[in-house]
Amino acid sequence: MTGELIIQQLLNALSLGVMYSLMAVGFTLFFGVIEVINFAHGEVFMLGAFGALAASGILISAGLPLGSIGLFIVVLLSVMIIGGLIGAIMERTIIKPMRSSPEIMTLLITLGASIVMREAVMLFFPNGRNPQPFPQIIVMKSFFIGGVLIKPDIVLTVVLAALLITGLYVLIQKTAFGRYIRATAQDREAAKMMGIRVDRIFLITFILGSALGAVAGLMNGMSYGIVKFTMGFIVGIKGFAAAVVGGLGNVYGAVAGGLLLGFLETMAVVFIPDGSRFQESISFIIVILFLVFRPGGIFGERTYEKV
Amino acid sequence: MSLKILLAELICYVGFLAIVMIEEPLIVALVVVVIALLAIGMLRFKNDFWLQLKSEFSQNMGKASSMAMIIALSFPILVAGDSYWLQIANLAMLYAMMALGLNLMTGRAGLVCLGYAAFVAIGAYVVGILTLKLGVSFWPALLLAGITASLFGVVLGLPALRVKGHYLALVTIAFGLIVQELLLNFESVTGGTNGLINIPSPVLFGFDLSTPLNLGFISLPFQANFYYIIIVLLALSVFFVNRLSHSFFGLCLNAMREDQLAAQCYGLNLTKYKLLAFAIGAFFGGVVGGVYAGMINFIAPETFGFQQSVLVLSMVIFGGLDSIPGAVLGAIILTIIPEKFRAFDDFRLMFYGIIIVSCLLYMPQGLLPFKHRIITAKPKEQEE
Amino acid sequence: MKKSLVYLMLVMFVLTGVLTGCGTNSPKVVKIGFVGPLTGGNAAIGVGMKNAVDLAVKQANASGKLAYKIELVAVDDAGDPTTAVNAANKLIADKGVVAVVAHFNSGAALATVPIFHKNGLPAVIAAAIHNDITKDGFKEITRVITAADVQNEIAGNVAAKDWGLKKYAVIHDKTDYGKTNAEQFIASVKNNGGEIISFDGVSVGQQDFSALLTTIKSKNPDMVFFGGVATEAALIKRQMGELQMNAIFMSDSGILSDTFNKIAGPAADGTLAHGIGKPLEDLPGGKDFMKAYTDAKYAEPHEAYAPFAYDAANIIIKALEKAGPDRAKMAEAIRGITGFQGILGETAFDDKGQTRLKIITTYISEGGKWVPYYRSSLKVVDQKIQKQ
Repeated sequence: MTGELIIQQLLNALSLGVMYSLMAVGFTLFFGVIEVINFAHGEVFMLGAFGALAASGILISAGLPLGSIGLFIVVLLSVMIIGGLIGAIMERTIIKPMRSSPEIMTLLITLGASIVMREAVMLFFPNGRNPQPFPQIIVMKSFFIGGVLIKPDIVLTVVLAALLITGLYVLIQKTAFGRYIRATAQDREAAKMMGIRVDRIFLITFILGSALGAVAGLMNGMSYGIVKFTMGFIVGIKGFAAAVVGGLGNVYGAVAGGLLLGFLETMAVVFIPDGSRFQESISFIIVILFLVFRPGGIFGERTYEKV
Repeated sequence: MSLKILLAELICYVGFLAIVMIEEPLIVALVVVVIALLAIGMLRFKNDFWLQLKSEFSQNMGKASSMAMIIALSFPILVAGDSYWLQIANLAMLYAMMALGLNLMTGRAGLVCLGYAAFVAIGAYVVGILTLKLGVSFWPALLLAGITASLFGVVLGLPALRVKGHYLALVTIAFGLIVQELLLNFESVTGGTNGLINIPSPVLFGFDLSTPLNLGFISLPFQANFYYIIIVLLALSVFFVNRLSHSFFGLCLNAMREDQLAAQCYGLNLTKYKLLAFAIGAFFGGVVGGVYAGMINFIAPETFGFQQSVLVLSMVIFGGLDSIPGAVLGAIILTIIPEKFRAFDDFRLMFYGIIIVSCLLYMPQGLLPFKHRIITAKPKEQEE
Repeated sequence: MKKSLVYLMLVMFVLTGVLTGCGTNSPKVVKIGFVGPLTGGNAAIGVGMKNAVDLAVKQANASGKLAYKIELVAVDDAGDPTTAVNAANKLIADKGVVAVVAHFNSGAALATVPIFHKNGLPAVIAAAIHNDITKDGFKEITRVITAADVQNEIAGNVAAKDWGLKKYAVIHDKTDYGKTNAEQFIASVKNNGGEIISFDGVSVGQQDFSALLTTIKSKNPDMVFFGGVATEAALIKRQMGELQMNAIFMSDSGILSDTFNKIAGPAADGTLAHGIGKPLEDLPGGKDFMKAYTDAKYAEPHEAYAPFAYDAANIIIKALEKAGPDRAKMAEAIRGITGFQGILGETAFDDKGQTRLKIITTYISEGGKWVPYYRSSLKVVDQKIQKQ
């Protein structure tokens, strides 16, 4: 195997991994702050892609030229708004009422919500049952650097993901609002007593995480050129797996976990004979191994249960 | 005294038959609404009567359920051998057994399992492979199906020893998907995506169960054979799970569900109980899979996907977590209703999703909530 | 005692005869079943097929030649074996149903064929192409579509012999459909001296094939063959384009839909596929069918497999004319049908119930449409797709 081929495969791994990372950040955020696992996060991803499809359709028919940066920015913003709105609605309708219920109930209700969202798209989105082509919002050509083919959508995805995650980092670490989030994550009761409106923090966390998930959906649509109502399930589970591999509640961990899963999946195809058949299972085997042997994730410390 | 129970059950049965027999979806919807309104009316206005009936039932649970079973025996004759509805009834009862198994894991022991269909798949393939390729007869294969599923339950239970809650949910989903992938990829044994075709039908005392059942005055399609086999299996399952739940073992599972740490502090061997809960729960899945393979004669991996796991889970939630009659009733209702409204088949999954969400929001206890027992166990039973 | 019972029955028979004969004056109702994917991923195709059967039934009723009034009972198999078994049982339980036009999905057909056989209900398989469906040669089962092996055999011949391609990378989607197609294609290519340099499986619903394609690209195949359906094929073709692979891309009849062209976009150009049948307008009765379908004003397009369902329905109707509404006699009549001129041509069945018609067409995607290769301006020259 030549060096160029290896680099090419690493790039393939990167583009997969970044997608998983974006999803994993949402999972980790919800868990770290609100202590819920949102099984419907994959469907937010799917709705983000469909939202992008609808938004770009409307914008193009309104006269914005296809393939322009302006169109991309408007679509991006509208997808974030759509994602945020869905997050807000979910938080208020199903997460908040379940706050005092056992954790398994919250998990199950998000699972139920994910089915409802997925089926709703299938039933009510025009032609939602069939896979639909995603418009080329930005037109860019592939190019070579020293024998390695660079796909522009990888570059775009990586840059955008890096920007968003850095933004999130700055928000959480450097602003007053971020301090509130961290305080709430650390000790909900104490934060409440210090005058933090925990309720609002929860809502905003959900909006942030869901907006990220929706953007991941947009990026997915752009790089594969297709959206379908079933696209969220596997990506959601893999995002969850990536978050667990990175250590739930840890934002860097989520990024690392996503990249690791993307890397291992790609390598399995390359090095295991007939590995492509098992590409989809690799993540699951890895996450089980992690849970058994290193339940805290890559960066996690051993945790002990508080009594 | 038990006459009242009998009467109540008969009325329910007639209502059920009416729902099954009437073809027009609108009229069925009407019947369902009327029944619901009647039930609500009962609750509101004839409260005394309702409570009385309820206490009758809860005090004579054994009698009530055996009477229900006997009444149900007449179903194949009353639908005049309609093979379609017999098949649906068979599936409904198989779902009920799955719900009982899952209920033991998730309802009673609090171990979330989102990969239950994998156990069913394992059972089905064990029976399929043994009877089709190795010529083993059905009944030992069925037993082996249950045992193999149990073993896989233990395998799945091992990571469950280390993780719980959300993590366990992820592990079980992953387990379900991996099992499916394995079934797809080991063609030489499992037939891959082709699945296994022409699995032989079981033979009982020299009688081939795939031949029509002649009762003398009426000849019933072969599905009736399976109806009677499955109803016996279901009765056994209910009996077994009921005894188990009322044993010390059942109480330990409850304790584990409520607080693992506290249970451990009281000297409960969590490892043992978790693994046993998985093994027993999986056993039911394996048996269901085996019966399914023998009845349908065809199995393929996609029959046992994540959707099925969610479906069984929604039955358990709808019936009421940890409630045995709830699991059975939930499974039957949630199989029959969508089947009745096949014209709206597209909405089937949506319907299950809405059931899960609205049950958890508005009726977290389910249809027939589990009641903590009032009568304490005799001291003798409390020995380990 | 017994005698009186016989008399009673006789009287009743006569009475019913009299009542139905002159009392109401309406012809006897006979039902034809349809089972196919009305929901799920193949719903568009299934609904098109159902409409075609409906059209055949309406035409037969309107012609006034039949002594019966035919009704259509359509049930859904959702493309999945379990649902299909339930659906088949529903049709079997309906005693008015004399024969069934059945299935698009092979998995569904494989599951229900033994059940139709066991219960003696004749089923004409319209569009499921798996070879094993007619393997047992049950007398109730016939099939109007050419089986898969013929299609793939010809595909292999064309690629290796006519175009002289040497090195093949084969991918399949691990479904029964895709894998069988891939294996039959490989067998045919090997017969013609081609070399298989890789054979890989991918998952349905998978989006990213770049790792696999990068590996394949490094082996320089002349052709990438994919056994599977439209969505994955479109993604593979797109990603081949992005990776700037020069290999010709060919797939099976599963991708012959607008979905493929829409999703693959401009990358679709030059994709090859072999399909069973011919473009409707090139078929003997195709133009009439299209006109009748348009005139009947169905809400949904007929899609690719409607002609097969239409012929299947007409074969049943012709058999009904001859044999009358009796399942066993119908099975015999369908099996032994002669001189049936449908839109596909003259259909007759062999000893297994398989149609003797072998109509295979090579298609190429050009300008967002599937065009028969013989009419296209894109040709395979010097192992490359070139515009003529």
